[in-house]
Amino acid sequence: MKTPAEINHDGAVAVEAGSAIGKSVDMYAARSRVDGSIDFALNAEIPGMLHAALVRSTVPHAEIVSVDVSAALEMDGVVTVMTAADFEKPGAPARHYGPVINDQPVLCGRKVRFVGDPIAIVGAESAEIARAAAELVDVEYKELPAITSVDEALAADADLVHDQPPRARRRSYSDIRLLGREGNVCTKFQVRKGDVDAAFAEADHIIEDVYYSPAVSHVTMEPHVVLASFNPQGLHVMSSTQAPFAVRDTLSEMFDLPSSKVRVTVPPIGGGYGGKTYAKVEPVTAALAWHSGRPVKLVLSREEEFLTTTKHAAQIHMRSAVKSDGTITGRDVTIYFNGGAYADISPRLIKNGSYSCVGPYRIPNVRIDSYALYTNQVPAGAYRGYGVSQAAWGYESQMDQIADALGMDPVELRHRNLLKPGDEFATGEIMSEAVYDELLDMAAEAVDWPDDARVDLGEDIVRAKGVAVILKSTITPSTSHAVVRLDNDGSVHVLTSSVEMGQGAHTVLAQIAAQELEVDIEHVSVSAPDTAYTPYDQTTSSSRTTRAMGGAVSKAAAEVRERLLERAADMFDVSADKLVLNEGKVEIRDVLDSGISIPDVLAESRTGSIVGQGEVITAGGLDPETGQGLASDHWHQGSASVVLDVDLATGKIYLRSLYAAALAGRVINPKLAKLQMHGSMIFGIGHALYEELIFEDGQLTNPNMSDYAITSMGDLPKLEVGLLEESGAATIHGLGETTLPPVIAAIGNAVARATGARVRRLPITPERVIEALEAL
Amino acid sequence: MSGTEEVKDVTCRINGEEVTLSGEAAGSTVAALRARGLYGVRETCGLGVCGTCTVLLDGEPVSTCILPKFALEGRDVVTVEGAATAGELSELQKQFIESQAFQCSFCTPGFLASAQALLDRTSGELTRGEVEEGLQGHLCRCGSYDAINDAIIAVSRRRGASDPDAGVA
Repeated sequence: MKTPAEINHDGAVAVEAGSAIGKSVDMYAARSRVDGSIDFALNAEIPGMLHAALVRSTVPHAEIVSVDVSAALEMDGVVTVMTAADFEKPGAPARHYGPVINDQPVLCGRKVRFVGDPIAIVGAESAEIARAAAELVDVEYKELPAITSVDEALAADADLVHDQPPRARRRSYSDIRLLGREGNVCTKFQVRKGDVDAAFAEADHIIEDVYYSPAVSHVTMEPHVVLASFNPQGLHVMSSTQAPFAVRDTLSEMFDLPSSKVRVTVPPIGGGYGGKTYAKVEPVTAALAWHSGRPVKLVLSREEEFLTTTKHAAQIHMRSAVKSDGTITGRDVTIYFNGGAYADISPRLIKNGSYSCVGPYRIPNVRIDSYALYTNQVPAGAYRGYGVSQAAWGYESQMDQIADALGMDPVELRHRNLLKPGDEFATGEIMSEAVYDELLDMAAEAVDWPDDARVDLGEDIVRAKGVAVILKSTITPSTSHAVVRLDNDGSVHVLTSSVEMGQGAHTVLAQIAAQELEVDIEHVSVSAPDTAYTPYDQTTSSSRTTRAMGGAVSKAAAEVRERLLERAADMFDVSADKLVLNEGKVEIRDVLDSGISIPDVLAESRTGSIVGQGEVITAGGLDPETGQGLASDHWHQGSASVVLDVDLATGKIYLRSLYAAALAGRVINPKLAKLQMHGSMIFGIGHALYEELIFEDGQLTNPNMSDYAITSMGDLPKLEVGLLEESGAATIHGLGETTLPPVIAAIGNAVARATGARVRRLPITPERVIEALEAL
Repeated sequence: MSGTEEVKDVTCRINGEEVTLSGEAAGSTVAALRARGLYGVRETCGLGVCGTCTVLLDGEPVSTCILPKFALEGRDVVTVEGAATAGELSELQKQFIESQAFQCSFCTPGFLASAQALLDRTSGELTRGEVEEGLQGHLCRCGSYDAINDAIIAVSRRRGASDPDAGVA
């Protein structure tokens, strides 16, 4: 049997720049993106379909006394209203779902647990009628005390969001194991390494602080859209999801159907950022399709988008044991992630958020307790950065605080502790690939660190610089399959379940296939995910697609190539190893003008099409009580630096320039790679300076794009990116998230340097800067 | 749907074609345009703050999510579907592809509308600041702003030297 390391080594495919890889080809189907013809799920209609609208809880925590749907049913154009009671009927689907724990009601029955929890779903002849009718559903509540903060959730006499730990899903993901489920603890995860108490007893300095990171929204420009219908083949759901197979499996369990009877199709989606991972509103839409016997379309309103899923708010208690030479010998962390009312994917996120608190540092003694807590707020789920943004906000702030306490340069302090190749990480795994020193230097050089790290510009304006460096894991273990089909006109079809959500997945997969088969990229098409026809992929998330699915496509195309050359070998009467592919032709190596076109090879050999398949299946996993094992089959590595001005009189922050660097290994498409970096950086700016979901007594007060600000064009400083590549054949490192977390922390460090007053609570608003200055 | 709104036909030109929109005159323009199959018009915020649903109304960018249908009476509407000429993409559309000025592209039609209006009311090469000002009120969550700015400047550069008498209106 192979060890995880061997399996993971096989999984990674090394690719070289060539005829397609490394080229800034236009995005796949680019024209449809500028002429308006791209076919988002929003456009989809089925004859006879109903339009749905949800009735949502207006209180954060209550028992439902009664639900009166009679007025809604009387409205012209209303066909049906479904409530929890309808799940009692024979043949009804299960009423609870979740990727790990079956704790989320499709429609609430006995209790509601957050403002926005769905209670009923209206099916009507138009969306306007459905929404108007939803307003007429009368719900009577018996309110319960609401748990709206980490402290309230943890109080000894706390009311319980769930009376008892909800039932775990029969089979979830092998890397997720549940622990410590009691009270309002959804689950916890621990890291134990070395002797932490001894490290602190022997420390020259102990630096300790608490950091806060709020819930924020994904704000995809496209809302969640689902169209569900039953037909003789089973259930068909079209969804704007990042995880077609996860949605399929959830629906298959919910309806007790074989997974082959649930078909999930995904058109290009209008942004995901984690917010469309795992089932969200597919279950309720499919339930109404079952109940009404008609196709049902549900499009969430913008307000509902804010009430569907969020980034986890986190409270990070972190202390570090440090020697006077700057060596960090111990770290002790308790991190609380506010998971909201339902578990969603919290159990994995708090795992990743736990070891991430060590950062890219060699710390021999580590104790981390990471908790997912149930509260009466919007359920938190996957979010670009996936727990690392919160962890890095803590540890990269603390690194600068350690440097200050020791009177050391913060870049030098980091270098002293950064992981080098061959070092052991807190999980016990060996970091074979570690370029953190290089990435930190790139970030430092980009802002001429340490020159003018703080300059008083006069008139209350101070200019300062900040740096940060991070590591981020990817889902491990994980599985991706691909099929590549070469047709007799020389065209190549990539059959993949990777979702195109603007990140360019379909473009880079086309490039990888084009290069392996040496055909023009124009001849390559890429399928939209269709679980009935395209092979399995775990999710389009975790910055995994270019590497994992790219590896599968590369292997599948290599298999096609091999078969094609075998067939051509007979025609050339040479052995296949003498043949090469070049510009759509099979040629004898080093023999000029020997080429036969691919269509001719297939025609001559009476071959209709050639199919190849490839897969990347990684291994690994951690013990939930000790955090020991293998956290990630490879590591995303990134850094950032910033120059900004702070107005000490108003607290306002003006970004001047922002730089971020990431380990890319091999860049497939420079134009798209740069955009992924920009996207992460611009998210980082928003999380650092503007974004926060503000809850008051369990009510979200800013569920709209007027009161909730995201980064606009005018907010941008000069953006620069660095992509660290290797020479020759190199493995691919995803770039979707790597530079989001360090941007937040670098901005925090620059503000602290400018003001001398560290803000520990994101976002760093002018009010919080002034508050910190006044506390000095 | 409550039956109290005024039902009145609205006559206007959409992408060069004379059309009559029937139904409630106060209904949303974004819904009316989508009902005609103009799926490049998309709603995001519903408040007129994000720019996604922007179209050109007599050449001026407007948010259709907060525009009542009766405001179209007698006027000229151009959506992204009307930007190409005889199947040939506009200079701006082509440059958006070349500059890779989008990711998910849900917001792209709105950006294109305001960028086209900016180009139409100015001359010469635009500065980054002028583009920023011209595109105020457009949000792109994927963060393609830099490339969008590059694309618009590239188109403005090609149209010739700056005319000192013309500025951003």
